[in-house]
Amino acid sequence: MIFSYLKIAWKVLLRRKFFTLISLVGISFTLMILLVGVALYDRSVGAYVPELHPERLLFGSYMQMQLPGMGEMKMRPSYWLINQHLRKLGPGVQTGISGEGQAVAAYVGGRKLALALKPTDGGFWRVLQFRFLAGRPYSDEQARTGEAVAVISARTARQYFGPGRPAVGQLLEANEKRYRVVGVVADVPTMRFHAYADIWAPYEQSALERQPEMPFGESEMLLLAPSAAAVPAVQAALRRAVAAIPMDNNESHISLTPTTLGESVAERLLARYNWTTRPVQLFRALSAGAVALLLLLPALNLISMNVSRMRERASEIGIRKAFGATAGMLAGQFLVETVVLTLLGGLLGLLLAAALLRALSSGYLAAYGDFQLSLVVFGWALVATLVFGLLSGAYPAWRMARLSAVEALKHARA
Amino acid sequence: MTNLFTSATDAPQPATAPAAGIGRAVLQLTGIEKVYQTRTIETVALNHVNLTINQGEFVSVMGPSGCGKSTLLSIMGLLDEPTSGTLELDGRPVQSYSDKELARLRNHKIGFVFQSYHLINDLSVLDNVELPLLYRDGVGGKERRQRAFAALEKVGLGARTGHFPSQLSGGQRQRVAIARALAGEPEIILADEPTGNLDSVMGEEIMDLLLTLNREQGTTIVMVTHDEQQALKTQRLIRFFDGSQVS
Repeated sequence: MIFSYLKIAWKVLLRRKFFTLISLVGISFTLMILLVGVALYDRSVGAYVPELHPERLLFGSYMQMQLPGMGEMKMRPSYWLINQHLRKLGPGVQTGISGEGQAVAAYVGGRKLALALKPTDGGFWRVLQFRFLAGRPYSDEQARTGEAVAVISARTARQYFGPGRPAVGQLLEANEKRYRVVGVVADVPTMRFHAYADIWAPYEQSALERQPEMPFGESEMLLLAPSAAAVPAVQAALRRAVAAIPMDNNESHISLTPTTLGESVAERLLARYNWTTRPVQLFRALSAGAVALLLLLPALNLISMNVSRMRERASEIGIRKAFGATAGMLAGQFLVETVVLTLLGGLLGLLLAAALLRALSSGYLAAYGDFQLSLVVFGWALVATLVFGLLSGAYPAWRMARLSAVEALKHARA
Repeated sequence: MTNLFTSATDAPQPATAPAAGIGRAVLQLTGIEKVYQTRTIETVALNHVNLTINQGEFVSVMGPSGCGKSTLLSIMGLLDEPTSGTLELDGRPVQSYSDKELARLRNHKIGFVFQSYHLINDLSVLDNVELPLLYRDGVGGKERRQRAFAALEKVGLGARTGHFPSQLSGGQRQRVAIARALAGEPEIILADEPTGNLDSVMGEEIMDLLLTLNREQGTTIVMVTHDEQQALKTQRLIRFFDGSQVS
């Protein structure tokens, strides 16, 4: 019977070409947006180099400070604060510090290269697992003393030194400062903002010396727990360490809530707009709402188109009922039709998403994106497509199946 | 394979020729009423109808438009429920059956032929004829095809299996509709003005086909018609007026 359902579904789709086209466009665009969204999210928070163990990673990016009579301030912690007070969080916990990426310029044969430079400590390289194509990371000692060494991305090495030429041991000049390249790593997508840069170099000692004992600065703390199970204990240890920091004013209070990789993405996306003090919850609510709307609106459109076609198919419904089809069988048939349509739309959406992701991968917005339709993304697509199909097919199928055979035959066209 | 269409036209039988065997009551209507109620109007479509259709009978139902003939056929075909009264099929009242059971009864016991054919235009002739068997448990695809083909052979359309309804003439479409009604080998065929959309020659052909079916296979047929000449060829003529049986 299912073969017969599929056959009639295919014929119905071919017969109503305009309806099929409109439906396919709606479904495929919806799924394309969903798929691209999922792929971007997956590429932002999934287990990819250099954040190979997102389940063990924590980030201390923002500190809150309560000042009497002044409300709450939210700022990044300083290198000094992290280095001085928050290093010792228990056995097996790796800690690292990095600063915001700075725009720097390098020149090759009169051509300007706009690059992002991220200052880090030595622990940064133990928390994140970069893929080294050549050389190695700089040491704790080199980082502590602010030696002019750097790790650069493969693309930077290619652009600055030329394709296929060795970069390790060479000098790279950016913003009039010369760095000796000690390592070359695989490109990191811009979306992995905790790790992303074109050049990684030790903090400038002079810059650190200009901000002695200031709790707020432009850094963030990176932590790698020894296991996923140890993450809550590490979070608690960090909170305790922050609470123990002596404050000049006893009425002031500082706190730092370490976030997971996923939470930090939400925080990054929403915190800057000051819409909320709980960006993670807002991000989840907004994402759920967006997905629901994205699925619901085209589904409602498809439902309405399907219901409006009922009269057109009244004859068929009446005939099938007259010859022994039950309401359940008819509902099954119409559901199969909608699911076939949505699966086709899903396939089209998958192709469109692949094309869009390919374009995004090579674009500025998501440089080094290397987006792929992974098995995870494909699984999501399948689930989304089936939910979409069932959502838009169930109600019309139910309405059609309930149609009285006598009425259907009476009003049917000859 | 017997070709009902050819045998009917080659050897027409007298109107009163006995069917293969008239026997027990297959349909028994007792005190059937059907009232359509709207906010302002109450329309009595059937008014206390008592009627027995025996196995192997060919009965025609006549009457002016709107007198309740089609409603009667819908109730006999288990497509509609009477407002009151009882309908028995093979001696068992059908009111207590669930929708699922009624669908199963329709599938096994009853075949329909409609004035406007009601073929599914998206399906080929063979697929259309297969329809009753599609909803029958235990009939596989191969058997379905064989039985549908045999039914088409009976109505002389064995060579048209791959055609679509839009490629056929009115008479051919009605023959496909009859083949569809036959494919499930039902005990009863309910035909609602089967020649109403056809010219007189085509109408005669379809009528001969139904007569042969009744005579040779003993299929019980109830036919609604406006054509007195055709009605007179059947074994019994029932006349309706304003929802009541008048003769």
